[in-house]
Amino acid sequence: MSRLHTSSQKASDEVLLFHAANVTGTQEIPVEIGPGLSVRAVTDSIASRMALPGDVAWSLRDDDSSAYLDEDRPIGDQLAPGAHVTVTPKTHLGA
Amino acid sequence: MLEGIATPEAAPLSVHLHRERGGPSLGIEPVSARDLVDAVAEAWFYELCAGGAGVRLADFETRLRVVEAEDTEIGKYTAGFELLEPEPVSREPFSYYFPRECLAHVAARGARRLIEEGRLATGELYFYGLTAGDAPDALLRGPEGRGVPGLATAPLRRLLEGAEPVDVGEDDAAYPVFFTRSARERAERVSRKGGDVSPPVETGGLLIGPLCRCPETGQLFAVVVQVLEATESEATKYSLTYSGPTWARVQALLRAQQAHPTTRHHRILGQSHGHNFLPFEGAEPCAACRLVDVCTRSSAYLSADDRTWCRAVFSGEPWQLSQVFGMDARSGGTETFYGQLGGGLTRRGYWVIDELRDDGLA
Repeated sequence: MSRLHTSSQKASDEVLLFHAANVTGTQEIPVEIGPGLSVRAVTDSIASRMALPGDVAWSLRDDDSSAYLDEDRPIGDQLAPGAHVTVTPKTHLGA
Repeated sequence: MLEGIATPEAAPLSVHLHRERGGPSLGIEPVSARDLVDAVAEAWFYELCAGGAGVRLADFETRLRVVEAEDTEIGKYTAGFELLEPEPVSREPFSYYFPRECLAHVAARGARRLIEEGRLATGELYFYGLTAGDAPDALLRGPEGRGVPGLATAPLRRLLEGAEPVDVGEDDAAYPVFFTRSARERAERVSRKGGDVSPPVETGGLLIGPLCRCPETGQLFAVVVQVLEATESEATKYSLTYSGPTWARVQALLRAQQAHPTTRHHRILGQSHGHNFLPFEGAEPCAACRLVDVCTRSSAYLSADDRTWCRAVFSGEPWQLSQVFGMDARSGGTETFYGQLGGGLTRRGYWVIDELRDDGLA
């Protein structure tokens, strides 16, 4: 399980635990992360762990609210412990 | 001697780009283990189709070997790669071939970088080749968190009796795909719905149904029984974007179905959408139009953006299906259907059945 922390945090004291799944619901991983990290950094880390295509931009959507998380704000400000998020591609079908 | 498990960014292969075939290299783009997920998942799926014990995709391991060919102009070149059993123990260790074309998206990524660096012009034609990367012996493994798909049980022979083939080819027998008639009609209706508005827009939905195993032959196949329309999507003439509410609705409906005993194996099998525009920007039919029965122009094709979307949404899901409804130059309806083969989406056919009875599935 990957851990990303800011240097000022103690791993055992401040950790946000949640679950991330892909859009088809066939892949889910537990995530343990420093709550002060930006959503953008966390999203990149999760997409890498899930081996999702690296040439596609991804966003996190809170399954409870259906809202996309703000990439520039800390993830701990937007997700409650135990939350479920869906890793959603920022791309479109189109000719 | 095999190296350890490849990290997502280790490069078992590299793509090199050229302005001319066989000419000097413009640049090299690493092919990471992450870029090979679809090929690894496809090899795993072939093993599952062959009656394999059902190893979790996350635990499936394979190693890669480049495959070379000879060309009269450029001599020896790397035509593709094989995914092999890492430490052969069985009498018939697996080996699956993937052509280099399945890494076209890596070449495109390299081309974008060259364009940013000013070493390639936008729209400039390029050629790409394949070589071993800096981690050629790394062991490849399926992505974290991937299991074995739940499979319904249904006799394939019974489904094929009376089934209507639609553009079925020889390769389709390896992984048969069925549509119930009502699902097939709904896929077309939902996809062409955007053609009823002015100006027309792209519309579509997700193909839903079970992956199945035949109890008599052990063969795997898919049955599309339902189409969930992509409501609350953002649509233009040439694009369709699934919004947060679109995905939320799809996921809620799917979870409800999966909680019910008779539909517990339902999953997202693929997508269908409409290119509700005339080919070639509505250009007049060609001079041969009145002489031929079938117009050869069509807007029913899987575009580069479509392929990127499918590669993102169905990453690691080799059972994925894609369907596009379009128009020919005579404003007639056209359709193309795709499945994953050789690491990328290729044209294939399917069968239409009247219905899938509850007693036909276990």
